[in-house]
Amino acid sequence: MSFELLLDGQIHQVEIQRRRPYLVVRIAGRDYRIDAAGTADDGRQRLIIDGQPVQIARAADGMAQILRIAGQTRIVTRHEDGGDGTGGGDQSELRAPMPGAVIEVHVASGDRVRAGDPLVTIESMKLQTVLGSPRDGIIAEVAIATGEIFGKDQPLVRLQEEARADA
Amino acid sequence: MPVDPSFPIRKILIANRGEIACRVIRTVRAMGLVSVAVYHRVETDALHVRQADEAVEITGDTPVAAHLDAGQIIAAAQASGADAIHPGYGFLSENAGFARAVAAAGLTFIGPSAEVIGLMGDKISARNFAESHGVPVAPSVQPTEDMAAFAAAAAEIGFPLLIKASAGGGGKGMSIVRSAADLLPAAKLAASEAQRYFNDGRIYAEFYVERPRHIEVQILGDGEKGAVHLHERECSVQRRFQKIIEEAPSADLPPALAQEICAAAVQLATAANYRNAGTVEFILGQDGRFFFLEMNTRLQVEHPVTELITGLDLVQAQITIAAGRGLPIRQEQLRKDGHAIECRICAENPDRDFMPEIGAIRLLHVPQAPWIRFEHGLTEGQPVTTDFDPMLAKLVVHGATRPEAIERSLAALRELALLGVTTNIDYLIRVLDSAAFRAGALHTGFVQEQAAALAPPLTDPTTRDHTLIAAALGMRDFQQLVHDLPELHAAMGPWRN
Repeated sequence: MSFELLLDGQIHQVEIQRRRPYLVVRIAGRDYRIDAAGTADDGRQRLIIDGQPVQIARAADGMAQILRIAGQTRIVTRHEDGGDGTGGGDQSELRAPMPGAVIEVHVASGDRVRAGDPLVTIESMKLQTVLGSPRDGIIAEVAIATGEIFGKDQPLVRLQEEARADA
Repeated sequence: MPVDPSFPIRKILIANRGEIACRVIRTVRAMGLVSVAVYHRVETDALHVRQADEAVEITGDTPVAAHLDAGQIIAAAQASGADAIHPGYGFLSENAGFARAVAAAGLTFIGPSAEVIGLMGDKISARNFAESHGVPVAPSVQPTEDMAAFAAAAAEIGFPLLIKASAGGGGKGMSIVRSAADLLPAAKLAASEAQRYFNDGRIYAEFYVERPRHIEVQILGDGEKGAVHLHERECSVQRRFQKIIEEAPSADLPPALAQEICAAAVQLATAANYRNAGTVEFILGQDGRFFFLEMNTRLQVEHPVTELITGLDLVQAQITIAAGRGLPIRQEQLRKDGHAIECRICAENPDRDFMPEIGAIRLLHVPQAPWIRFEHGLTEGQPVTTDFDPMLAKLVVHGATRPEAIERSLAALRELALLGVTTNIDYLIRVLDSAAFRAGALHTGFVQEQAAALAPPLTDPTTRDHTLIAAALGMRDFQQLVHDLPELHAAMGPWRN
């Protein structure tokens, strides 16, 4: 069973090798044994990886995991099929090009839009930007509301999967 | 602290927000006095509002506009029955008109007189004042109608020259001119920038010190010709002309030179009949020559490093001076204990030219140790927006020696977790851990000069894989894959926050 994650622009596979009596995952050909970890303590957690304690601090930001390990802060997102996670490749998803706040949402779930139609107006660094639809389609989900703030690459609006021979 | 029944100040309105408001409230409370916070609607749940004894809402088109509204703040002080106003830093702290209006309203302004704020607030008048009282200033020339005469006088000082705005600050309207041909265009551009930013187009050209160090001296004056210094601070590590790491004492300064610089600061404060806390800033050349830069007539962001090496509470000193009780120490009583370093934690991306970042405080874990002071005004869940300055907090650490203060700062920064917005924490670690910083080879161009050495390192594969494992364990879909088997669930424990 494999799980794809995106870190620093690279896709990594996390494969589950075994699940009991302890978890073993394989990353880039190397196996890691993960034993029972300490419970979360004020947002921090201790994992036991290959017998060694690893102290982490974690916060979830939408789809992203923000982690602090070994004095470094990293953001990890799930790499989903069809998307490259960089905000440009997935034609079914409008992702935030930069952190900002939502000024106005121009569409609602079920709306039919053409490529380039305004979906959301955002404000970032005191500049307002209108984000357009990546393609023709029907809005499946608006993931944010007016006034909300979001991080870079956070999904804002999703389109329904491409209809087969709809027209 | 037991309240002295004759102490003339009982209730203090803090005309500020964030970490500095929290810092002032702490001392106000310790002195047995009552604190009043002010806040804009967007700050209703802010830490300074929660910590103060009372809070008054102020309104404005933007939160910053509210905090700059002198009339509203004075009215809030009167309505709450406060008898004094502490301005913190920024906002109205160096506004002579505000200091005058506070006094005219019958309230005590915890700071210098409006006249001294006005004198020091104008770079040209401050410079002239310093020069006439024997404080070294860099050779400079001001442009007049006769631009040819200006160019000739500038050439006489020699290149490179630094063009500055008289009303300037924060690096705006500043540029370095390396040849005579570039002088007039640069002067014209600086004047128009100065007009735009400060509504005051006056500029001047000054001798430019190569690889300068920023050394500043904390002073306290009683307003009756009495003044003491509380040692110097070094603030040479800057980005965008703003400090990010400060230390006290300076990294590596011969004691005689430190003494000389501190004496010059006291001389200026005495000449100005300075009252309250202030900072005299100097530029120090690699040759040991130093020149007056400016005087900040308020409490500085970096005041805690001075507190940690002197054992003094500067806010308490400000309040007792404002109450007419004089200076807390005589010069010969001044202590100097070890070394202190402050790191400014900012919501910014050092890998993108320190551009401000926004987000939210989703997790805050602060390391604890007797030598750590973490100054902040944050609450978990609080949005980080562009409404205010990107500085989120300050990590201030004390050690017996500079190397110990560096090691303790590094350990504290590594443990500090402030997640939900991109910060400069990892960058600060790289600066403190760099050979050049450890060696004390500091100057205000340090950040640019060391850019390659301070670039983010490649993550080693083990840390990378641990990061991926921790991330996967935090994701619901992954947990579902793992937790299919109940025994495992029991063995794994709670993965989620």
